[in-house]
Amino acid sequence: MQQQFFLERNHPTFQPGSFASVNRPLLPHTASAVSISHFINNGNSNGSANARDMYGFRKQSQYITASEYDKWFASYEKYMHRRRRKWEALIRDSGIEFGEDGVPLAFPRKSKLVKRYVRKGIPVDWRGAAWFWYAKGPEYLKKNPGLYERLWTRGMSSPPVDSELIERDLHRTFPDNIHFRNTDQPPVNSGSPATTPGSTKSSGSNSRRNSAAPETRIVQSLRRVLYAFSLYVPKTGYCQSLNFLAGLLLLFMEEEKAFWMLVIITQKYLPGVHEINLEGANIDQGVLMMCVRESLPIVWNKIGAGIDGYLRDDMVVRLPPITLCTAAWFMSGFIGVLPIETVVRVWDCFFYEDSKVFFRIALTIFKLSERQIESVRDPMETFQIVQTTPKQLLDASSVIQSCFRRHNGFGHISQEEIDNRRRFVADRRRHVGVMTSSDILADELDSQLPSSSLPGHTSGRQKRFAGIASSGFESRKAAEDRIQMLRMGSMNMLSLNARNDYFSPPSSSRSVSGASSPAV
Amino acid sequence: MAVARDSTSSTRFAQFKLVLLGESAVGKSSLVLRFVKDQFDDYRESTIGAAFLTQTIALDESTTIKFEIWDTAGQERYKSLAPMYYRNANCAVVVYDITQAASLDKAKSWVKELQRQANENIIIALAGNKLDLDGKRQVETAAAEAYASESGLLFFETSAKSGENVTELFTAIAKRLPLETASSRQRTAPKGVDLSRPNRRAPAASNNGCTC
Ligand SMILES: Nc1nc2c(ncn2[C@@H]2O[C@H](COP(=O)(O)OP(=O)(O)OP(=O)(O)O)[C@@H](O)[C@H]2O)c(=O)[nH]1
Ligand SMILES: [Mg+2]
Repeated sequence: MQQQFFLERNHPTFQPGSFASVNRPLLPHTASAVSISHFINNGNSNGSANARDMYGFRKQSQYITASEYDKWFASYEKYMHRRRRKWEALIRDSGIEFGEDGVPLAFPRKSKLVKRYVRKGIPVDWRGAAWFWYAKGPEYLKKNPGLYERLWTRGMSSPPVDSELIERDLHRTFPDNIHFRNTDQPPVNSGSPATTPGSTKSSGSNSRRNSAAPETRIVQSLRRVLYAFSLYVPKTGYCQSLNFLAGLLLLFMEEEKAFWMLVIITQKYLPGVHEINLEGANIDQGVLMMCVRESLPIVWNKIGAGIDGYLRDDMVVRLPPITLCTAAWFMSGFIGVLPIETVVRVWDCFFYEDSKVFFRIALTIFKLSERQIESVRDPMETFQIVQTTPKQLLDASSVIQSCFRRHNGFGHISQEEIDNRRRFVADRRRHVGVMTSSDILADELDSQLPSSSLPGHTSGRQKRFAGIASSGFESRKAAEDRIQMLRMGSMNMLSLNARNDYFSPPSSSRSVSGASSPAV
Repeated sequence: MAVARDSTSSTRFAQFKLVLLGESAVGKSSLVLRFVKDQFDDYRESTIGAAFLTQTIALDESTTIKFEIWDTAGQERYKSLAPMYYRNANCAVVVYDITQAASLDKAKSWVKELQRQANENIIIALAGNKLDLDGKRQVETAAAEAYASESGLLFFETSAKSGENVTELFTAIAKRLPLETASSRQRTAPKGVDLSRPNRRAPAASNNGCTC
């Protein structure tokens, strides 16, 4: 396996088909730290713009130069060796055997010690096995023998409804990773509009046309996994971002396991997050905003305001615009948000400790941006900070450290707490849903009434504020009354605190005090 | 939107919010990348959620315009998030792919939604992208142009790949924006009044005085 791997990375005429089996993970299984270092150092020439990391990604990004990467990696590599030796001892002491590929056949039972080991990083070539183990993958696999193969076979012969979307994204998944797109082969007809023959569907994707280079083996696996998943979980089908989750999994484990991991992530760890209405994603963003307000008041003062400039207590229903950025963090498991080594370290903890890890990492990113966020005047700049800060967090170990540091302000966010809050937010959003839709109605009404004909004309939301304060205003049109009734009805479900907060100016400290935070 | 006038000279600086909408893979992110960095990538990762970017252009010697750009994800299920982007947008670029007839239908539905739900003064531009793939064209220029003019949209055929018409598109939008209205957001924001909100929703007489 290792031999083949080198072939793939270094042989100029490598063809993806040279792998006999479609079911092997791409990362080599090696028995000792020595060969790991061999495989790492065997990457491309250091410092060049095309130099690759140990996973096949470009070392260099828009935010990190290749030499910065190398400088960091020189010490990180030593750290990895040290951790690996500790892990080997732990596995031996736990009485667990190693397979012939050098990967433990099982992983130690959960304990404080093991949690600490996981947080410090799982050895790179055991990673896939450990993720699968702690996510309880073996149970799913055992209960459903052969199912994956049946699913993808069915998918290939009669493509699922989402296949067009999937096809469009296959070549937009990690194009910078050598396993996904082999750049050693110059694109044959780049720039010419000829269509690649044999594409299952003529999708709108231009990348297909440009990708005269043969599809890599991992892209073919990715297709099967995504097809099978969309058949198996029709209420999610295909959601952009699943391609990245599956893609990263495929770098670490064989495709059947990657498939089950995708099922587990979307059902157990991040329920509803990728579903058609994205409600799970909205719920998690509501929970995250509650956590930010509680733990990071300075940040909350900048990001908590709605587009109307008011800090509001119904933030779990009307999410602040920053959640347009943060929702993607959860959906893609921080892929494309954090540098890749940081992502896999986060995933180590995530599969072991569950989704609270994502919330805490998100809070860590905010915490690390706090100073900068505090200093900007233009609220729009906050978006830029929140977007670019994580991309610079190359030092994975220190990110994990600041995440789990005691007294960082969010150590109390346990999984139980997250699950409770998820229920609370889900409930609240359900109850207030009627208000949200009546608001849209009100806005439609706004657009139908010429503002000049209404002397005191105010916006839908202002009307709602007014409604809370004075229990209504002059009736203008029957329709407007009806909307107002709807609105008042649903308003009763909001707490008094919420009412007060509607009128808090952005600089108010009241809305960040514990008193007005929703009881959980 | 915010417009500030330097009192000592006659230079103007204005900030506008722009949102890109359109079906997945039509080239929204590529257009932004061309506009902001003058780059193109045959292999772009698909956008998850949204990306925020800014670009400042000089409209003429005395006018500088900063675009605050939301590049949104094209997949249908992200559509429910769209109001968050366009509600306070001053301008929108609705993109379709000239080689995909269905993408124009999607663009039309975006235009409809914007005209119903967004700021009534929103400037909407329709962009038929991938002009470099003229050989595979499925949407005739004349048809799209006719639709654009009857709907009151700016219209351009663009290529993020070659760069054709990309700057022209954004400049044309900038020229249509109401420079003489509103005042600096920075000054008013702490009071909780957001002048960046669409005219229709803002309190009466805040920024209806468009002089262009
Ligand atoms: N030939 C050509 N290809 C283009 C052009 N613009 C974009 N593409 C290609 O079309 C594909 C999709 O482009 P993106 O910019 O990612 O599309 P998008 O609209 O942002 O897609 P989503 O993020 O999924 O909504 C990429 O492979 C681009 O390289 C163009 O002007 N000409
Ligand atoms: Mg995009």
